[in-house]
Amino acid sequence: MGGGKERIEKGRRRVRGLLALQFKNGVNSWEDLDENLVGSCFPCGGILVGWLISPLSFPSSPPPPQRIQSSESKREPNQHQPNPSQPPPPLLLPFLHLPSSYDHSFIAAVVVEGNQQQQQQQQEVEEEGMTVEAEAPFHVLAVDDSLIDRKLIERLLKTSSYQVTTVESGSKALELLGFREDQSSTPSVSPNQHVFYLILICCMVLFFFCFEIVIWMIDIFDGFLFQEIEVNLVITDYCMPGMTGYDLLKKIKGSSSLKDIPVVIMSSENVPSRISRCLEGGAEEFFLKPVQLSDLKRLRPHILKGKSNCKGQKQQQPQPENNNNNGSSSSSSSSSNNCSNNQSNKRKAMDAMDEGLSPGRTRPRFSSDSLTVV
Amino acid sequence: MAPTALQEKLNGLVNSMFAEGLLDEQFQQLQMLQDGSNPGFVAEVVTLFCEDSERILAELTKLMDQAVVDYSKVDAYVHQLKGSSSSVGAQNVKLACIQFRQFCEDNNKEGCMRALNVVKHEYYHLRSKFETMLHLENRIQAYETKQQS
Repeated sequence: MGGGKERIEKGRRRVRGLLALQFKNGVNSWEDLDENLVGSCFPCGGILVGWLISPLSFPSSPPPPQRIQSSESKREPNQHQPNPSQPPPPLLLPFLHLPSSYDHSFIAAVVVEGNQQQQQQQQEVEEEGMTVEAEAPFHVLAVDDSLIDRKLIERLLKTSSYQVTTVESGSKALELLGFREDQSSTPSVSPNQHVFYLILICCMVLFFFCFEIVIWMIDIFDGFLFQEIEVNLVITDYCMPGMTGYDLLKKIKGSSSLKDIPVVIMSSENVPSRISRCLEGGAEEFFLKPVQLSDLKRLRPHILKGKSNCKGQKQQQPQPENNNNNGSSSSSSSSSNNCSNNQSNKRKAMDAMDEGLSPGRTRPRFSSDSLTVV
Repeated sequence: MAPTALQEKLNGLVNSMFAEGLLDEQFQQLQMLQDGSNPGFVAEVVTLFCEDSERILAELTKLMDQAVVDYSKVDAYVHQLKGSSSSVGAQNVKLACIQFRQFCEDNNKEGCMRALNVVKHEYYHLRSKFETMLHLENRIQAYETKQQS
């Protein structure tokens, strides 16, 4: 009890000092404020503590993504897009909006309003970001251990107006994507997050009126805790030393934050069991190398589908794929059900392989005579 | 030599490489990816291919010189070379690599030695043509740069 009273008194002194900076008339003593202000002013202390400790909670905050070979973005620099690698600005808005005259109920309302404004601004930023993203080129992460193939796929993707980042291994790809080893579909927490959540819980216990602030902190930090860069599609070679393209596929699809990113696998070898394994594992497409421009036209429906999954928007109708090769169409159905889409595509690929046909997406190269139309 | 004559010589060289089977349609894809925004794309890829191929051939020579040949490592390198030659459109090198891999699967050392020599022969033949091609391209580029300035 005595310890609690001391903490309250300390909190009062801190808030008094802060309020004195903001109010015109100043606060000369705590008695100027109604007792009901105690609970309302705790959020101010919570804000301060949360702000002060937030750098300490992330001693090894993720470094900026290492772009080993990345193209320059074609989109104009957008100042409104949030940078996930930087900690969020401290919540000073409530203080800035406090008027010169006040009454006891106003402060609680202002703190809530400050939080709401912050959330609103965030939403606006996200909406602007979404608008800009719709206009900006899609970002493809290409993974291949061969430098020549990386150059080639980069050129192909850039020619098709994609923004490209290339990496040489699956592990580097996961690093860029912000994949954490303990991250899976059943969420688990890393040690840094343990510390963060522990401190968070302490704040909740001490300042149990600060629910709005706690939720705000989770929303802000969640963005940059789990993803480094935003990628709309991953295209990866199958045969790579260490982590194969299939391993990378399983990691991505097993991650709660990355599973909606569409993955395409490339291989120089036409092995039906490999193809079916990858498609069953969640790959959207399987390209035979050397990949050509006509193959990349099939990426866009998957990217659009992936974006709509991520954003929870109404799914756009995928473009029907032009398939010049044979009657068995590998185009996506117009169903809005992603699972059934994937399954129907996979079934079509399996059927095509069973029939010994050469579906557009697998495009087996049994001879050099099978030219593709570009 | 006038730039048009140089260009004709270059075209003739590339056409003969296609005719001989040194290059396939994948090389045409590379040519199509080269444009004003990336004028040195083909030269860059060809140069990378040559560097990569020589590195691989050196490793293969070392491996085949061993008393006991590690066919899995040999196969891995040949697979790499096959992949890069396929990406560049180096048809004869690619076909020689396919043959090489067959001998690897059979653990046939003599066959592998012969296949390695074939791959080397095809590669060096292609490299000399590439060198001439890049030389002509550089001269044409130099003329164009001079004219623009």
